[in-house]
Amino acid sequence: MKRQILRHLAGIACLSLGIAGVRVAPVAAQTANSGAASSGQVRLNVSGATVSTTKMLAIGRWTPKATVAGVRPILPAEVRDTVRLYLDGVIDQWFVQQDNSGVVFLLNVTEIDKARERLEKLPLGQAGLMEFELTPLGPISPLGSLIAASPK
Amino acid sequence: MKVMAIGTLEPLTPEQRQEFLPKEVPATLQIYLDGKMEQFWLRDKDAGVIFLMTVNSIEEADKILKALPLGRAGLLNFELMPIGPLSPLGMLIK
Repeated sequence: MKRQILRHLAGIACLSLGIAGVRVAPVAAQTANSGAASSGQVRLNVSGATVSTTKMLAIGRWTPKATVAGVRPILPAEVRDTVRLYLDGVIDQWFVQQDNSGVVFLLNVTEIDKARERLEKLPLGQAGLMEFELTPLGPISPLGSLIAASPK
Repeated sequence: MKVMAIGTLEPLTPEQRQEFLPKEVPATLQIYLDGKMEQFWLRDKDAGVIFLMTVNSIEEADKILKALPLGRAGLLNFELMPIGPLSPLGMLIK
């Protein structure tokens, strides 16, 4: 149902933008999105512009086998290695999810493989207790329409 | 590398504002869209701007900022500071 609504909305967006003469192309496989959440997502390059990847969003979630008792002995090593990633300039910003479901890192990494390599080496990842979903990010490209619209 | 660029603006006449800002603003946005500028702020009382830049070298930041219309006219001058992670935090994990 939710997907149908999304499709419907996307259809409306295509129609209205089509009238405005804006190129609308679904960009399958443009982003190397990984993780379970990526399947079935609607992808639209509404602005028609492309920007380079400047950051990587890393969402870390506990795996089903994670328990407080299982995590606790690993945590000191996890904290130290995470701080090392920050000191190496890999982690730009770091947060916990307030519902205790894991962490969110904003990485200064532009290649998904390099991000995965660094995060998989963390102790909780090695123990199979935390998994990361990686999403490449770039400057918010639709802002570029303001340049096209501004007086030269 | 990250560079904190602190820009100080010369007082602009209304004519200069009209001449430069319509070109300065889109040129600044383009730096952001090119992925070279992470964050941007205006200093209080229009004293200037502060840009957090992601560049390969301080020379690159200098070149980009001096190419802006106000930079070319010598009306906005930047102090460039290379910055990085707060290394003393490492003392806690020794």
